[in-house]
Amino acid sequence: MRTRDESKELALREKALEMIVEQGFDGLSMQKLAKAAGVSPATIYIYFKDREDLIVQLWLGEMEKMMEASLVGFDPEMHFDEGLKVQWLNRARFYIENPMSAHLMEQIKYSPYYDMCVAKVDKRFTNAMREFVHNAIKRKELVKLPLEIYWSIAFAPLYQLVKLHMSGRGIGGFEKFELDEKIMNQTLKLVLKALKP
Amino acid sequence: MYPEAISEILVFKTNLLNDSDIEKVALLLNAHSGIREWNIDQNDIDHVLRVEADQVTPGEVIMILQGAGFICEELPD
Repeated sequence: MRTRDESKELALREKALEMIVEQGFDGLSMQKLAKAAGVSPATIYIYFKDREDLIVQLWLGEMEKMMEASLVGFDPEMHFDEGLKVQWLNRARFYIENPMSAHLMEQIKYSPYYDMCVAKVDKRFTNAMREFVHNAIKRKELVKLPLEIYWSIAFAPLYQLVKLHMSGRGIGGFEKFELDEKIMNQTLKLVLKALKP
Repeated sequence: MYPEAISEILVFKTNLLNDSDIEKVALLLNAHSGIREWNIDQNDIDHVLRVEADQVTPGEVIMILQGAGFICEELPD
């Protein structure tokens, strides 16, 4: 009888993430993964149905961690300015501390796996974000905008700064760049100004 | 109360190369009452057949595939 072993599953997820991030989706095969994780190929199939399932489960796992991290100390009832600040700090910290997760999420976004992935995502996070935005609009703390415009103003600046931080270089690629709380607050202030009704 | 039945997972190397091969064994696998679920990893070099089953021996699955003219070997742990 083959039994599940959580530490084996964890090792498989870790190695698979490493392989995809370093070598792309084509760099991941069950044989290579088995070797890297020190298990037999058959063992992988105890935890994952096939290669596609492995990729989708991996994304869901990383997404779950990101959502978990972003909701720490957050309440959809918060004032918009305060709530957005919590989101910025939480998300920036998560991506900076988990560069591989950030990388995988970007890779999935531009791959055929994306549709399969989003269909399975936990609604808890999207619901909390939706509630937060609706409350803020009702209280006239936030201008009403189509979602894509809202997101592009509210979060894209942060993600751009995080990307620059992870590359370690500023625009142009010559100067060093490090995202600190001062830079984040300065940017956040402008973002909040843009989103005021 | 009986404890909840946990299916066993059986893993095989096959030569089921394409959809038409899979179709040929699909009816046989679906018809087996002990097999709860099965799938083939078409992205894998071993064309792995993964079976979730209750009280089915690897030998039975191998017989099913071999009877349909395919190669099937259990992958060792």
